[in-house]
Amino acid sequence: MSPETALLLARGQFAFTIGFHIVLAAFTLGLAQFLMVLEGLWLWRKQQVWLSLWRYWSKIFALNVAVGVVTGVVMEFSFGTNWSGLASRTGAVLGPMLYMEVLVAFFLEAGFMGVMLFGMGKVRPWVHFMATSIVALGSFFSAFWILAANSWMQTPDGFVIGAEGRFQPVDWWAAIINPSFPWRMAHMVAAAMLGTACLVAACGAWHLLRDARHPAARHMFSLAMWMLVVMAPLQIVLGDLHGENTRDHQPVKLAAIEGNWNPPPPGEGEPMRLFAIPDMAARRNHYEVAIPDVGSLYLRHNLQGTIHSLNQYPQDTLPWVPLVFWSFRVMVGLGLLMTFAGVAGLVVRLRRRLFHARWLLRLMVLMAPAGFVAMLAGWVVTEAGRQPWTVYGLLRTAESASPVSPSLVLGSLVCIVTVYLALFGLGLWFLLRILSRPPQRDEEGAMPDVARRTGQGGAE
Amino acid sequence: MSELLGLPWLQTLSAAALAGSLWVYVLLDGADLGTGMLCAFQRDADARHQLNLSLLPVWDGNETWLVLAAGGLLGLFPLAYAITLSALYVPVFMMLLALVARGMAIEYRHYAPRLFDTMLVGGSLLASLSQGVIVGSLIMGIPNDGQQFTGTGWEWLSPFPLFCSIALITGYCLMGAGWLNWRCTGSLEYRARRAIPWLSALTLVLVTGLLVWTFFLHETWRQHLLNPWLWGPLLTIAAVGLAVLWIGLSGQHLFLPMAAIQILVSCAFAALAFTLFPFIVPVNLLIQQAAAPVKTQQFLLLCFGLLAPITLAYNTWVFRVFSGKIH
Repeated sequence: MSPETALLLARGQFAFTIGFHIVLAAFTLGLAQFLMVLEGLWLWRKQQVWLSLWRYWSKIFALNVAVGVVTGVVMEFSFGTNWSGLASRTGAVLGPMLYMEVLVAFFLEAGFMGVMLFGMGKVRPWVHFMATSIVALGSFFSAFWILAANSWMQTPDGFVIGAEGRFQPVDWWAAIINPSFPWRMAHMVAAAMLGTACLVAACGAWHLLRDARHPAARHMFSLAMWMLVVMAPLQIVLGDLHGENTRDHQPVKLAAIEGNWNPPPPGEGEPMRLFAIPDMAARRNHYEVAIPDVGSLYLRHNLQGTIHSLNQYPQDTLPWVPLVFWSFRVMVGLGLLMTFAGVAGLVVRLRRRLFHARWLLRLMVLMAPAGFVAMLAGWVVTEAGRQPWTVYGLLRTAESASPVSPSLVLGSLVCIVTVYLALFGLGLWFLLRILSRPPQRDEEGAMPDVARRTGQGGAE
Repeated sequence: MSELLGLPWLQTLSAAALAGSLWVYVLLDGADLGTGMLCAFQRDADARHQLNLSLLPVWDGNETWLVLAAGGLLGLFPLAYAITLSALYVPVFMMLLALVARGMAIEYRHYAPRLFDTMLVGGSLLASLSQGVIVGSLIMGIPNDGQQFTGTGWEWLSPFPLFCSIALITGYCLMGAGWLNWRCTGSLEYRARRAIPWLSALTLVLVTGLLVWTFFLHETWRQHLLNPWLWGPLLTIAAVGLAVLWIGLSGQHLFLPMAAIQILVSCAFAALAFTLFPFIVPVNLLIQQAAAPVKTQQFLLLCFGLLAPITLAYNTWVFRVFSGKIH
């Protein structure tokens, strides 16, 4: 097996494990906020429907978090198993950020999750609401630290390179709040909310198609559609800001996103390419369909501005352009679709047809995975787009890998794919089974027996 | 004070923080994994249900200490993290996948008890086995050139690590029995209580065997184990632990046997930790050779010192909310 193949296997393994984990983690982040809102509404309005919605979604949350946590444990070790070059060179900077994630986020989530899921009736209502809110806050902390670590690799700052090429921290503030971090954090949190909103909306829509008067289905659909109409346009703004940051700090990535091999003729702006098949060998696009000058509008916010082009850079510093180019278009396409759905939801709501517009309900069912697919596509853009570097411009991916035999990497990849697909297939099946039934008035929470049969105080 | 135990104090404290996290992990998740393995011996449906109830609110927090140790190793001793984990590639992935299956099994059990009980037993067993192999491989030594791992990746597949995993599995089962005796009722409690004496005897024999084998593995280990400052206090504490265990069992105490088992397990943990000290990657890489820069260790230890007590406090509170017998 050639070293390139071995590297590709290790990268494939990381992409696969993080791909699963990131969806679960983002769904946790989104659902945690959703549950906090539901419980807040229950405490404030005292309407039974909020409680049954809370209990319904808390079961989904429990199942999702279980798998999210354990797939996260895998990630914490994989920097050593497969990327020991990266670990030994950057551990002094990245290690503390991952450590902080465990210390301030994982413990908080794990600790208060027990009370949140099983403790309603065992502790006072406000204590329980506090537990739910802390879990929600913990998921933010988690996103904060892990995105700080990722952003540092994209736009490293606050370090010096010492002996044997080891990165050493000199300014923690600069390393953590590095140039791309605030935008990445905002963009990712919004993506998690949108992904969750799409799933909740789909569940609500599915049940409304069967019974348009179902109160719980109405409430969840309505909340999710509000979320969509607020977050989707906001996400476009955040995405644009994040893009400007990429333009300034990772110009090659932006050029790959745009499929921009050569600068436009003098006097013209950048085109907006709608379709192209980038060719790495010929270093140009085939079958390009583009609108002149429009690209400058969103890249530079004028009609003449230009960006870097790929042919300015040597071949061995370019990412695989087709993947970056197309993933970006998938992400943006889905983003526009979500914006359309959000606005459409607002329009039919104003015409008092939100729960009866069957075309919209059907569209929302179909769009169930749209948010998370868009998020994954976005991650492919940013991660494939920074290749061939792990620490941008400083440490190559090839130098980051572990000196383990390629057959071990292949073997572990096969095992991981088999186990993950089998377990998640199973998990998804149980998840869909819960979701296929609408929330009942007397909905039970996750494992009510824990509350009934443990501890001192009885269950409600 | 510039030195502690013969090393710069920051590095010694870093090693202590790491060992401390692992120690708490063993005490908490050891009982958790042991309980999972003991599920294999429960035929009664309510017993298995009770067993699941005892794990549900706590398994996640218990496992987090392992993640903390992994993150801590990366931050405090990046080189050791890099060398050890690539050397232990196969057992580490076995452990991780087993933990994935087992975590899922606990939380999903309600929806398909038979399937997920099997997964819990299998996952707990495989995770414990892998952890034993990892410990054994560390004591045996990791081939490296001071920069990276230089072995084949199959060094762990030899008698000593496998023996270690048998000892660890037995020890975890003992802790699991202590947990079930403390938390559960009915046949579960009764059988756990009956199992504690012979599980303790077996663990004691296996751990003694492990220490004797370790004694003959390396000259350095021999010297460390012969140090009266190591075996003196540990043997004393272990003797106290055994006495407490005896009192707890004969007096029908609920928590005392668990506490005694934790004392005994802590002694075994301390014996191994002090044997390996000051090596971070046995048998050639010392703590100071793998240490992260001062600025990193300072930052990490400061956060650990400030936040770990808070963490322990609220985790204790959660334990208390669900404490007592499952009725």
